[in-house]
Amino acid sequence: MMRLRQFRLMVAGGLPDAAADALFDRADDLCVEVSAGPAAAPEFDGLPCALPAADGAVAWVAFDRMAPGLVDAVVSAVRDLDAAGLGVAAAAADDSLVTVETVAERLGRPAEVVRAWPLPGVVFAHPRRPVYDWAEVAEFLAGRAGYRPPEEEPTFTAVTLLLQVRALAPRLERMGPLRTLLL
Amino acid sequence: MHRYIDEDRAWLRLECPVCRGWLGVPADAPRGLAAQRVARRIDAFAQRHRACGGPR
Repeated sequence: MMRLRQFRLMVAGGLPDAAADALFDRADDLCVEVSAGPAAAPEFDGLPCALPAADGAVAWVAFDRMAPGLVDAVVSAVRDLDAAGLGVAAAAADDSLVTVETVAERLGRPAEVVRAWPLPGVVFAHPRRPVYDWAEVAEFLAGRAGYRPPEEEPTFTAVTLLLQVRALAPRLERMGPLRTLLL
Repeated sequence: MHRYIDEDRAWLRLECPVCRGWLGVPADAPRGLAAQRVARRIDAFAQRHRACGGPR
């Protein structure tokens, strides 16, 4: 069943405009973001995915992709970045900042219903478009509606490790024996 | 937040005038859910850069 899969791919190095052109020519279910530096993107501190460009910027591509599974979505997203000539450093969880509409879509409930709930974790109390922290919202939903978020971290970790192996492959003596370790 | 529109491009660029961090979003997201998803990315970006203290 096709479902919405939301996640990010960390770009290894910079994200030039020409690469963004290639990405948006290829897909319209993504957004690209470049942070001025690791200090401006503290959520990535300590992760192997934080590979800043030469100018200190940290870049990522956020996906809102319909796919039968998270693995399918992430693999197709990696192919998108490959085609745009971008290096992929890691797969990571989606942005923690969400709107009421995001919460509603994840739950499959109307936004009007979710808006009436006393959602916790307000990060920015905008009168029309408040922004919430997803971790706090998910905890609230677990208590209220028995919501269980899908387990995504194993997929992100596995993809990240495979990307690291792919980057190392040209320097390895042989890949064949190593592939057998996956079986 | 500065907005740059290039007619030849399939995307819009929003830039923080203080730190120069930027967000690229599809220029022609269809109405409905796709537009809401893009709006959420813009809201998150704007929130991240509130700490920069630039004009909004």
